Amino acid sequence: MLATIPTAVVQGVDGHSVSVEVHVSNGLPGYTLVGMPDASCRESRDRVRAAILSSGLRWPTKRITINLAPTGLRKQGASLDLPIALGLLVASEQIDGDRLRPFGAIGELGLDGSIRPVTGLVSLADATLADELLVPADGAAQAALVRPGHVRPVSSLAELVHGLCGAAPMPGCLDSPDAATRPDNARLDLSDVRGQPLARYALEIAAAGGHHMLMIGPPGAGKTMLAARLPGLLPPLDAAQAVSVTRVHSAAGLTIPKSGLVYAVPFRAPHHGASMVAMVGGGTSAMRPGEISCANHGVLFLDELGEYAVSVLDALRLPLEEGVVRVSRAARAVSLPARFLLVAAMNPCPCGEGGSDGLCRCSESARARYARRLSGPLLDRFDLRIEVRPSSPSVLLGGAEEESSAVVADRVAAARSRAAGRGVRCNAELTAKQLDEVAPLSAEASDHLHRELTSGALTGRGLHRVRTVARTVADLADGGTVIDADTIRVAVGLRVMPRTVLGVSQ
Amino acid sequence: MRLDDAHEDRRARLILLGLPQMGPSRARWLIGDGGAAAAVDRLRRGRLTPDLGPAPPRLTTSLVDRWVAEVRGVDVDGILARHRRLGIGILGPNDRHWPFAAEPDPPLLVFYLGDIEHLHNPVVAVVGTRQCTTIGRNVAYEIGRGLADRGVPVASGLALGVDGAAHRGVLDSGGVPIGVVATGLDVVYPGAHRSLWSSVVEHGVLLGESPAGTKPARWRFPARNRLIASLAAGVVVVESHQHGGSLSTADEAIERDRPVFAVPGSVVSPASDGTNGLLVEGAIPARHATDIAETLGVGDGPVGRDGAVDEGQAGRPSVATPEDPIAAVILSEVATGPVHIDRLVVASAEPIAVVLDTVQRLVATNRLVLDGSTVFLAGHRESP
Repeated sequence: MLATIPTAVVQGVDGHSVSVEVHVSNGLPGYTLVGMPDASCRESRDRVRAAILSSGLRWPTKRITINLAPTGLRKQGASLDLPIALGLLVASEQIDGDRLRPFGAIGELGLDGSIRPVTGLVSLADATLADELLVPADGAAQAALVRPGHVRPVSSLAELVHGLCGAAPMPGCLDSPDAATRPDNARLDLSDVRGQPLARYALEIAAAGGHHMLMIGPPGAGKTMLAARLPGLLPPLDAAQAVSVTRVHSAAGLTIPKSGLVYAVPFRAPHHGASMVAMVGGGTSAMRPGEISCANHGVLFLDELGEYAVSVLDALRLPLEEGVVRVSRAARAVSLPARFLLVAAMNPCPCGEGGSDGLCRCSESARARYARRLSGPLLDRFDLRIEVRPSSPSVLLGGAEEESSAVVADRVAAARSRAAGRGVRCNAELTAKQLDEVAPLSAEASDHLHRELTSGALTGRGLHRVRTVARTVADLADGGTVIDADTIRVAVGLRVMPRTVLGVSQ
Repeated sequence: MRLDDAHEDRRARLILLGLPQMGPSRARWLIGDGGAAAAVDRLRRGRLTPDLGPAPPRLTTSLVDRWVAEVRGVDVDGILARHRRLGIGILGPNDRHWPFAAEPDPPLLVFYLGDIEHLHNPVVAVVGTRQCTTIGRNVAYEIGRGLADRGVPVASGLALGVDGAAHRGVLDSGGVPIGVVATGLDVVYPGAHRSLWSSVVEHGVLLGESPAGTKPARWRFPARNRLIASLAAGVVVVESHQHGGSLSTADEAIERDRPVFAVPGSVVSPASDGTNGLLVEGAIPARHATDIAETLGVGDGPVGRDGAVDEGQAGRPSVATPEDPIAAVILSEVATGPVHIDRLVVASAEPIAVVLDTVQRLVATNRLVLDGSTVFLAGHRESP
């Protein structure tokens, strides 16, 4: 007898519909699994057998053939356990096939018959072609996000079979997770940071205009502390963004809050040992999203920028431009979302004490080697480059109460709404043509930029970036449409690289 | 010596320099007492008379055979034309400006670019390791600058590290840099110093003992160091490792009875091992340009970047324009050294945007330099 159960597999962040076809016939007892299963999928046989037996059901001693259609798609993961088990039970006539007809199923089985959570549940639920879904109770809220009212959480095979046979009530359908359970975004408050007026200002501009930011300073100056407070300044995720972030985080196997929805602005800080695959995604046949996709709609913080593999850093360049990353492997290529705000921190030199204090103990060649690790094109992506110095003891131990994240976030929101009026999410996305319209230069400002260009301090690309930053500076100051020279000077002053870091002596 | 003889002598010296692996000591051995023209003549005839005395060490017969074979092929007119085309001047021992009259081991010829008259004033050499620390680099820069502020020409070797910093300090003060190099003057080495190379030519003089086209070779650098020591009234070693090349400059200076100064460094810093060693052996400790200028009795007297008032630096505005009080606060803050913008915000109690704007205005008028987020006073001239 034949049974077909709809389910799905995930590749990258997208789900692909899959049908599990189970055929049980007379013949020599055996078990064949076809349709491009990978190793984790092939293991399902032993889990499914143990789960069926533990649940007081019968393992058919017949010829069992299982096909995962479409056969051209490589299947991976344990989420096919539940549909395979249900298919087997229908095909061996232990459950009524008609009762199961409206259901798709997703879930991993334990040997005791429990149904365990799987990664990528949002995408899987989205792609499964069935009226209603049976999903693991743990994480079912994620599935309800995309299929509200059509998701039934199940926690064990025995319980599910009882429900399907009418011996017990079926678990009820879940509604969409409550948006009211949104967590407080700004647990890390900017008022914790003492002093650092320049860094605070740069953070505010970065948040308001979506400008990538590089902080250079000795260890202990507070670079990480500052970066960690950036998500609290960004506007909260809207509903669509939250779903998209949840989808990526779910596919990447990150912890999803109980509510099923990630509402916090993502903040990802991969260690500098991160491999290319960990950073941009790919790797397994599931094409797991990398860190830059997990930082989508949020902040990617790279501490110790100079310590990352050069190839990994250079791989960031295209996603920074395009907001997506295309990962291609021999088998297939996927597009992963990667629109993030890049914040990086680095020491000025290997010993960390470089800069102008004269405490650096590095040789010139060591400094030059360190500087060479950063490619010019990557540095060019940073619109804001600032040096961070430790605050003085008097500021750290006393001083006035500093501005809180909420106050700054209000200004950021106001600036962002101005940008929205220009048809972009943030000023960093303004094209050169739009800039001429929304940020024309005063004569004096134009003169100043002309001088910067002819002296070689600014490149053509830098010119465009400076103008977008100037737009943000003016927006934060409630400035008018025309960008004056004062604003341009501030924008230029915020992107001066220390010469030691560029490897230029003296 | 008659004019014709001087002319012939110079051509003969150029021929000798055109031979492979010809250093000053080998040339001196070849010339002996007879003059360069006679030496060339001897080589042309393939006869080296035994009265030349013992050959210098490591000179092989096969090399002498190569000289004999190649001496006829040296195109003196071509070499002269090439130097004329490059604007390189050539000095021989009979020239008025010849700087090595008292030198025991003089070069065959001196090639120069720039104004050779600068060598008439007493020169101080500031040298040190290429692998210097930031402190060493800053000290070299300040000493170069301080000496130049007093009108003292500063000689160095245009190498990376200390040498380059010293030259830059001189240039930033508007002084006279003297670059002594081991390559041909058209062969920029190290390549990173291309712009510094031309700045030295423009504002001072660049010289060496190798004809145009000479590539860097290991043995030419100690020879170059002896020229620096020979030119200088005193040699300052800023930083040197234990067996660093700049110690050879100090040794050459000691042989010529020139005072040697060393900048004291931390006893745990490898970059100061050599200089601290010099101090132990009796070199004069030098903290800044004043120490050196006073000991040597050179320069126009104190002009003070070392604590004294900055009077001699006319042209550099030291007071803010009265109409901008924020600029005044900023200028007074940076007067004592580089500061981070954060400190200027605290000192002026103005919003960060206003401070940044004012700093950038002062940068635009060449009064401040913004390096990263650190602000310091600009020199007379924009640094390279």
